[in-house]
Amino acid sequence: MQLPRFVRRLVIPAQVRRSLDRQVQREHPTEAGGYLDCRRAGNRLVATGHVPVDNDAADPTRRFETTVDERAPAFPRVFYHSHTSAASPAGMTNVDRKRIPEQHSLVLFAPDSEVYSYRCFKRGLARWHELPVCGQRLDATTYPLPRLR
Amino acid sequence: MAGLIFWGLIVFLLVMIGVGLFVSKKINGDSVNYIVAGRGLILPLAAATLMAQSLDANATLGNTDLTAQFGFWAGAALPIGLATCLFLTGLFFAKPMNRMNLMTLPDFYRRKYGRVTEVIAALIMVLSFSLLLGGNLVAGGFLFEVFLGTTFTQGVVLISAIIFVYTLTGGLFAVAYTDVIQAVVALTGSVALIVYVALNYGITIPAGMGPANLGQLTDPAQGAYINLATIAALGLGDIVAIDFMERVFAADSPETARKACFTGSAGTVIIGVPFSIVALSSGSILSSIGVEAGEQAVLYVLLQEAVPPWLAVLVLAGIVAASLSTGDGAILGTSAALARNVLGVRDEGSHGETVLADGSGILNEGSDKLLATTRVMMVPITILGAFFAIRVSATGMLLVLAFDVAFAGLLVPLVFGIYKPDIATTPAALAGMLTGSFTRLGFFVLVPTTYGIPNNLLFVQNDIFTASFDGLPTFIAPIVGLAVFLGVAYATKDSYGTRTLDRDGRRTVVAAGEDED
Repeated sequence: MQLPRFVRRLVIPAQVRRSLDRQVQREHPTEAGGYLDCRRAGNRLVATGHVPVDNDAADPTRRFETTVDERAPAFPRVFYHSHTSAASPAGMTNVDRKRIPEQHSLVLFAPDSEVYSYRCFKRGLARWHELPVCGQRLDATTYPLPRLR
Repeated sequence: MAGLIFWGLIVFLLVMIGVGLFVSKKINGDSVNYIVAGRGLILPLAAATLMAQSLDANATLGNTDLTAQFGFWAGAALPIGLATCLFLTGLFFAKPMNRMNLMTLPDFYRRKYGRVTEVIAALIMVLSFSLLLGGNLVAGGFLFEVFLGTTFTQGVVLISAIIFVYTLTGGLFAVAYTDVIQAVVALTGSVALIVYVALNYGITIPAGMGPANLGQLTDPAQGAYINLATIAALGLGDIVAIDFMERVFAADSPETARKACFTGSAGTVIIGVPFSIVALSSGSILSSIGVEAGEQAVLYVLLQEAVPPWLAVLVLAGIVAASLSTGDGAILGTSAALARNVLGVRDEGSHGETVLADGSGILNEGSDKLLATTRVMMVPITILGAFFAIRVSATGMLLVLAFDVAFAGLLVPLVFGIYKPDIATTPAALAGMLTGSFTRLGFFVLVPTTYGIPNNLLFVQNDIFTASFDGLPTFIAPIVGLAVFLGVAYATKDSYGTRTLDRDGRRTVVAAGEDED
């Protein structure tokens, strides 16, 4: 019997990453968001595609709001959103920690429309933990994506 | 007289099966129709099905035996507790829960707290309702043994098979339509019984046994802890009952759900309390006709010896109705929770996997996967209920323990999830559920009696907890669960956050690049 393994890493293949970046650039300065559709590969989550979701916030340059409905793909999935202000942190804000009702959350830091940082967080027993985020080349080798503190 | 009772019960049972099979065409291969009657129950149906669901063999047969033995409040605590539950559900929970478009109660725990919480909540509910099913099958088995001439085991198997057939085919539609008949029969039987007894024997209340003796609710020596615990366990603990909530979800609007709860609450008192009053008079009635109850249930003796056959048939049909209606709700609710919340089958749009390519098989073509799985789950659930009824001698004690565990573990996360969602975090819910439930289980092992029944199953001898402590664990365990829930909630609400639900019960996502909220 094989014991279930915890997710230790998020892998975003190059074509999914390019598509994500284009969405963030297209919607800038509005905060962009949606879900990464993923599959499990051992202790890694590998993104197979992404589902953009409209931002319903009254002030979409400072917040991203939506409801979890039929647009959300099945698990495993990762909710992502962009921080579009230079004053924003590259990681999770207190609002993110309190109000994102998902198991995994990816923060894309893009103060001038280009994504400078990819940081993924996983809900633990009592708080969020950060997971490494990797890109994946066509030959399946991985490399760390940019991460700002 | 025996022939009239025999054929009267047979006709009643056949009508139940016939109605159940007739309305099964409304299912139309859709799990929403099957589990929550298409969310279209109008007020009379919703109210009748809640009323019938709340009244079971405990609230009728158990009620009369306890009243005759210990006084009015010992027996009447059962219908009064159930009525209190429906009233509180109507007042605080029916509208918001109906609005959320849930299919089973554990769905709420998933949306608000996540998958692990959902599975734990569902398992506690499945266990408690399997025992509830077993308890009602015991009552049906005895009734069939006494009045239909079967053995006890045959009686249990027969009543299990009847409930299984019409619930399997017609789901909540069959349950609701048969519940209307069952509620009318139970109401007519209960009122006719008290009127007949009052006119022919008079209502005699032995000294210190009547409703005016409030010592039964204040004096521990008169069983006050146990009586109050019964009212609390049913009044508060049954708020997290899957069968009640399934009917709340099935009502056609939030307002209908609320009104149905209030009507069901009133009906539960109107049907249940007359049994207590009649039981108070049972001693004088039986002595006036020179009969002793002996080991048999007081009500059975009264029906056999003191009332005309037509009234006996009516009241017995009412008791069978109470067992059937609670049993069918337990089978449907537990099967749906097992399929949807434990096994995780919830893709309502998918087609049934057990349908053969030519459309044959036990399920209709077009049945969705959840419908198919729920029906399949009914087989082990019904067998488990019958097993509990036939093989486990302490069904009654395990039943109250299971409902106490549900009360201790599940109510606090539900209440805070709806009314204080900003502090109701998943770690708090899990910690509260586990500590509340295990505290109750711990007391079960340490206290020599549970609701007056000696614990011969698993008792650890000790000098701290005596039988006089009986009843208190029902209150202490939820308080422990509440304290732990609040402690963990305040410790984690900032670092972990909460899942916020909108008015329709959908989870909302709020993310922000800046922190001012």
